[in-house]
Amino acid sequence: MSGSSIPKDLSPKRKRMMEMILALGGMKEEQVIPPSKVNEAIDELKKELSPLVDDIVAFPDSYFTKFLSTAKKAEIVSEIKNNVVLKDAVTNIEKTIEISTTGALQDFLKSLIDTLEASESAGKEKDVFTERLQEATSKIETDPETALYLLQQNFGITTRYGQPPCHVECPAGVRTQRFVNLARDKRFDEALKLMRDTYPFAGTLGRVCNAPCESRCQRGLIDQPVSIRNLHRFLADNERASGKIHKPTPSIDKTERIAVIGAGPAGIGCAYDLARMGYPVTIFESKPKNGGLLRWGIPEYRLPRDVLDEEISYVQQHGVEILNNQRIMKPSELLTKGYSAVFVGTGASSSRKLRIEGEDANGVFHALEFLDDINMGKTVKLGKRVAVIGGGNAAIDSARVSLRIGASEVSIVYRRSREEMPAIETEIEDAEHEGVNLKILSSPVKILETGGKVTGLRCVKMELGEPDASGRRRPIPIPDSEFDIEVDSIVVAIGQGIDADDYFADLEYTEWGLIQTDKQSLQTSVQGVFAGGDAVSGPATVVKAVGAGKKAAISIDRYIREGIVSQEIASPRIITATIDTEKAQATEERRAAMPMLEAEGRATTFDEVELGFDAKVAKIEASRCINCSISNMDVTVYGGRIDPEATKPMMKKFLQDEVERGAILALVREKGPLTSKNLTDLTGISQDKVFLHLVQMKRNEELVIVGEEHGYVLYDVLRTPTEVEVAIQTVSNTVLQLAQAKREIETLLADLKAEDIGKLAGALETFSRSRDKLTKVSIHDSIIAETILSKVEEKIQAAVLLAIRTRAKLPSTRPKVTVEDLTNIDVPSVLEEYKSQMGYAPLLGFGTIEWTHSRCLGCKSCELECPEDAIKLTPVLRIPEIFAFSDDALAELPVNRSLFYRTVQSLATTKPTDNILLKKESPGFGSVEVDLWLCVACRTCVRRCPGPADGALVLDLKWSLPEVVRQITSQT
Amino acid sequence: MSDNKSAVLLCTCGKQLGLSYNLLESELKKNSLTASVTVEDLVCQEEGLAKIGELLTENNGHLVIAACTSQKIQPRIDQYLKKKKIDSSQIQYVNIREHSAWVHSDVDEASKKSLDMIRGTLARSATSVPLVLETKEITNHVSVIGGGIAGIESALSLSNLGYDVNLMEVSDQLGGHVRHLPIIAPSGKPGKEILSGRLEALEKDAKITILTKTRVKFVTGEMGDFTIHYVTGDCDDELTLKTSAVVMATGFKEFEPIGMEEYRYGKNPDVVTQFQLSKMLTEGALTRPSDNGQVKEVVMVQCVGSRSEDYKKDCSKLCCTFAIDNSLEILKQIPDAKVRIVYMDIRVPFENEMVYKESREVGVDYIRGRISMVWEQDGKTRVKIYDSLMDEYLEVTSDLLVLSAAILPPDGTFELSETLGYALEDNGHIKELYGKLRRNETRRRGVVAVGAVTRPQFVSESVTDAQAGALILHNELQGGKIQTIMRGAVLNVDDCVGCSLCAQQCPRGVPLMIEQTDSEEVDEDQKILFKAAIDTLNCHACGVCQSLCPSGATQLNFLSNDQMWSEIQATLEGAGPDYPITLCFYCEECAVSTIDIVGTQKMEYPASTRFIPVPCAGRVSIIDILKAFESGAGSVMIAACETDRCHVGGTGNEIAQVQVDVARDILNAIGWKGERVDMFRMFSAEPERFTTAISEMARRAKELGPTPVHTGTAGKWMEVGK
Repeated sequence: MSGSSIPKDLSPKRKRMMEMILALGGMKEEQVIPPSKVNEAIDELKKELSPLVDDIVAFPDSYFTKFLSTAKKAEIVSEIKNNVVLKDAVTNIEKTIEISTTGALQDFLKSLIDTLEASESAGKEKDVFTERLQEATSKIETDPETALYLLQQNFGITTRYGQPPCHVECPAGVRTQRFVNLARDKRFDEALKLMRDTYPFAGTLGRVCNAPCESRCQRGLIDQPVSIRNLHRFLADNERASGKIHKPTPSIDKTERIAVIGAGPAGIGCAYDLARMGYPVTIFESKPKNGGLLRWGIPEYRLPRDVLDEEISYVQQHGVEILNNQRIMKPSELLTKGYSAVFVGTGASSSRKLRIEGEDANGVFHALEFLDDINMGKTVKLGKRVAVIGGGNAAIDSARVSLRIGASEVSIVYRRSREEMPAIETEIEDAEHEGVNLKILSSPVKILETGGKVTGLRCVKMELGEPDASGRRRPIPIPDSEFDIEVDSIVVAIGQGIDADDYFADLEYTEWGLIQTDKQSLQTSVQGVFAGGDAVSGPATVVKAVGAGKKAAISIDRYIREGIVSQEIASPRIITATIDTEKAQATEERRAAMPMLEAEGRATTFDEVELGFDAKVAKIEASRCINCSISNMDVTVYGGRIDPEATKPMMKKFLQDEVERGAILALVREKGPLTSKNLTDLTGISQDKVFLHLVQMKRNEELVIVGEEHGYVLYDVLRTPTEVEVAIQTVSNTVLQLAQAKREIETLLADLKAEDIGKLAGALETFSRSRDKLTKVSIHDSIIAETILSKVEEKIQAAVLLAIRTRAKLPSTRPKVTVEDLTNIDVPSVLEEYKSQMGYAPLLGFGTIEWTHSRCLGCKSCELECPEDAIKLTPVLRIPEIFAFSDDALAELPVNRSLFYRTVQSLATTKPTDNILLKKESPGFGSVEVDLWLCVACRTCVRRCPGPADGALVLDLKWSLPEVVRQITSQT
Repeated sequence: MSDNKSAVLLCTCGKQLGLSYNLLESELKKNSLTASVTVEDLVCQEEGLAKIGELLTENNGHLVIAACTSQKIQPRIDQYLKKKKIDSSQIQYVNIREHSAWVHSDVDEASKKSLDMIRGTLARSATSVPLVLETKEITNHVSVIGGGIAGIESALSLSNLGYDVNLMEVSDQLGGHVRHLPIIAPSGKPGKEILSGRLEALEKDAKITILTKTRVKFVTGEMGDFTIHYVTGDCDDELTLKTSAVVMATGFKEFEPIGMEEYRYGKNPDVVTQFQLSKMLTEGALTRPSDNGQVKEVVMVQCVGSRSEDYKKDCSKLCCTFAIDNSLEILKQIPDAKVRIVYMDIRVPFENEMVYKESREVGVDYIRGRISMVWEQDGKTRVKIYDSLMDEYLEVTSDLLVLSAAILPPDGTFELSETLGYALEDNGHIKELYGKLRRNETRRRGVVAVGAVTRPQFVSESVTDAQAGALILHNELQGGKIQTIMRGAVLNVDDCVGCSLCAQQCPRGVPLMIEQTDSEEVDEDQKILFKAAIDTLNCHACGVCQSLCPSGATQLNFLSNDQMWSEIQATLEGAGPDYPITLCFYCEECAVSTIDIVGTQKMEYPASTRFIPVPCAGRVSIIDILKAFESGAGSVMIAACETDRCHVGGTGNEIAQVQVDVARDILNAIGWKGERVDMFRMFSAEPERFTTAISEMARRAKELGPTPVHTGTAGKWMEVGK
């Protein structure tokens, strides 16, 4: 014990700390635990470990063998596209092989290297990809639009430049985004004017259009598309409501007269454009009223007639003359009667026949004639039970009309599924709300009749097969599934065509019975006669008919001015804007619901069902537009108009940037991580620009930095590692760690010394951690070598535990210190020393702390003052103990504290048996808990505790190490 | 006349309240705490006010006024009585209009509720004590700590406002950093010029005492009576100085980048900080520190230690401008010098933008990027710069490498905070009371912080700050008279057990824990004993300390525990199994205005509700809640301000929440239904929120049925156990 006496001039606190260090081990250790005992402990550890160790160190090899064979079988290496993953794996495995060579690993390494080399050399070859990309990039300066178009088509590059998809999709070419923007800024008149630049039918199409624009609306990718059609309608309604209806002045300044046959959407659309170009136009209409199918085919509750009339009259105000009850037999004759050109827009206005038995029976109607009659005001003798055959808008209209004229039971029979019904979805829903039954996947096979009168409909059940040419799944009859429906009337609404009686003798027709025209110019077989709309395309939508009329107007103008019709009008390359929905700043509003008449009762009237938006709803709805195309934002976000001239140069720069960034993105996506230098070489774009783009794209989170190569930063797109990549990454990391740990264990066990036990425990823990990681590795959804991993689990844990326990038992593993060392030594540095050798926080002072609940005020003073953060006021109310406080203990407490406990007791009806776990720390309440691993027995808490008498805490110093260790281990 | 009796004044609000005044009058007269009952039609009018005066004098200030909301009527009454010089501090108010008559159409029910609440208030009134607004004569003396531009400006402003000022500076000269700045943007004047006028003024000013080479060790006392302990000159003896207020103007400290090895600062003499360069530029011709050679090439590095995860996280705001100022001065002195500034972002606010432009025009080279290496080669300092815009590495020689080091709070800011009581930001700067409206004020009354000690500030900003700080103090001290707050917490030191709960939880950090030591040599085993001390100047009278105090040592002088408990008991006298009552404690901040709005809008809710006002929800302790149940409440609710909107400083309602949560858990554990107590938060004008809440609590009281107190099973657990 010489030299171990403690100098007397030390401060009491330091003195006590030194006593603790000495007691802990230090110089006394040899006396406390003789070397023989130490050796005994080590021998015992060795003995206990030996049955475990072999299995433990052998497990990586058996695991990897299994992994490699699985990997080989599944050919996972070839699945890896990410070279960075490959390179990392190669490095790790190379290092592993340096430590311990395994044949299987060598093979694996080789396959990795081969894949890596193959993918790298593949990149050097000229391929289609590079050629296509170069084609695009070579046009950056001269024709950036085409370049961007090519990128969009070939590489799926998205851009906010270009036309908004809603506009691209509109057959009539409405400047959708612009008018929506204007509506958002409450410039309703301007918006309507913009729409009238395209067509006169804001109110009409605002009601009946099938709105292809909405199907492509980018907002729809986020939640629901902007209600573009209803905004059309609002603009028209708004003008009507204001009473200030725009009165156009005709601007007929040309002499060439033009004839239009048919006052339907195609004819009027054509006439409107021609009149505005300055041509005098005459429309010949065979019926007494105008509008064609708009009038005869669409019921009034969907399209009030005054709206239609007003919009047609608006066209007339442009100088268009409409002659009713004029049936033209030969369009070409008009050319001889002073008309310079003729447009035929006669539509396809007769219903297609079912061609099944019984179709001629009394009580079978055909939709168009049926609707026509009703719209003309004729009485239709319809039975109470009606079946409507078909799934288009005409079928829905027929069904809803049937309800309105007295039918009580209406079914729609349709042979495909509901999803495939071509009718407008909301119309189908409305019909259902009004009480129409849907009998889907049913095809009529026979109309049942008695005495020439319909009595029922025989149908067969259908199932859906492969998709057909229209993209819809073809219905196939289910054998022996016929069933009958009892009905009084049947409305056939399976489509329209041109009646044989209506063919023009001088025009050529296709085999489908439609007028033959040139696709581009819409000229018929007769020079100077053009045709469009349903008569050419077959039954289609109103907006398509309008679009065809507009297209014909352009051809006619060109024909008159230039005398020729170019057979080839190059179709423009249209870049369609798209938006990254993740980054779109969409406001939260939901799509505005269309206010409706109450379903109850409306089915019996022809009042308009949809009531239209008001200005407030329209503005909100319009503001839902996320302006996916920046080239089309005529209005700034502040509502100011943008001068297109001012934006032009800006746009050009933007466009070029888009092309360059698109090319960079396409390259990185295809080739994996690239540097600015690689990209310069591959694209020919100057390096500084590439750099700027990269920085910008990094900021936009389109690219991420993944590493460095020859001093250049490597950029890559964010790739989610595949299962296989994760597997390779994890396994190649753990293989190295395990090899190192294995070597360490083997070396240590060869000659185990007391001071190495910490290291041994560490190496064993590496095994434990790696094993856990490997249990998460899977290839093609199945965990590899699960049995191997689970078998070894217990053994590893047992080994780790053994090492740790022995480490705790042997103070000789702690650093030896002398009093001389201690006198001047910094206490924290000693602690550090302990930590590095022991692998855990040091035991400096030690003892047990007793907490007297009845004296604790929950004030947290002990926790606040503890220099080691060893003591905590935990949010646990040991309420059963509170009931056990003696009267003496309560009397000791400060007045309010004891009042609190007494009140609780006086209110209680039951004596609680469980502690209360409080949700959070609550000042004044809780239980004190001490972490003896951290406690250095400095007594600060005991001295600080303000509780009554001596306070709530008692520290019992323990000088006998084993006893403390026992106490601590039993606690954890 | 017994001293615990109070007069009751009932107002009929112009005979329009649906209450049975006869019943109130006769019932109240039976109460042993009632001295007299008076019914007035309009208490708020001259006649009514005169009656109040009369009743107060007759009853030693004990008066209960049952009328409309005290929010409306109290200011009027206070004003009237102040004129008449009658003490109004003991008047207790009951709101029988908005809280009763206007919200319950059933006259009997409303009368019953009013009666209960008046009875409760009588109990509170019985032990009320007069509160006195104390004014204190103080000396017109302010101490300014820090003799930089902010300190100088404060001192001059304070002197102009009529105060004697002690200006204390730790170095041997006034002027701080500004003295060494060669040019100050945007004026373009050298720092010395900016200081010279002010220094002259200081010298002429007889009211300002300048103490240089003076270091403040600590400060004791409170506003009007601070004692500054300091050392001055070369003498180590501690001196003291009495002062009424303190201006903290200790400026900032430039970060010393010693730990940043990559810059070779401290190892290569030609590597200096920006401020060292400023000093060199003001002290004469610029030469290379290593060999006094010519300076031709200068490289400046921005953001050294700023905007860095390892050092200071945010921008230091000043260094860009300092670097530009210095580079302009270098080019003035050495026109053919080459100055390169390596930056991350140049941030020059205000008109300082002009110097930035100027510097570009005169040819300062701005390189966006970082320095990647500094080394010495052939006796020269070589610097490798990565230009991130060009993606190039540049290698240059530099005669002087200047590091624009971060701006940090000055040394000693933390140490002084312990005795001066101001709070600190995470970054170590002094925290201002409220960034928008209470700038320059600190948590402690009488201590203001001006200039760069609150955040990096330019000269012009520091000057404005300094003037603002002086005005704030003038507002507090003017006329040499300061006022203590009339309502507040009072501490009975003998009862204090030193648990420090009050100090830990006070939203304003008012209570300080003072260690009770008798001798220097403390025995290691002796208890560390603390006692609280409450600085009444800073107290906002929320009562959080009271609700947490285990020994009842701190109590609000207008709402003691006894007052509260007797009020609870008296209010709930009529409660029973047949008449489940919901007791609502409401804070006199947001909750009271919302409840008053409910009244003005005459929104009905169950009449089985009783109200007790508290200054802040944090005043309600768990004992108060349990006492309410003990007295027969069917359910208890607390109406408080919204989360994060506590008006007393942020945490009062959170403390209340803790009390409610714990009460709930305990009730559940002891065989009660925890739902009987709940807390509701609301903004100051959310009537629906309140009516929904109180209806819910009334519903719970009804549906959960009689409490164990009603059924007589409370406290019978021991029998159950046996």
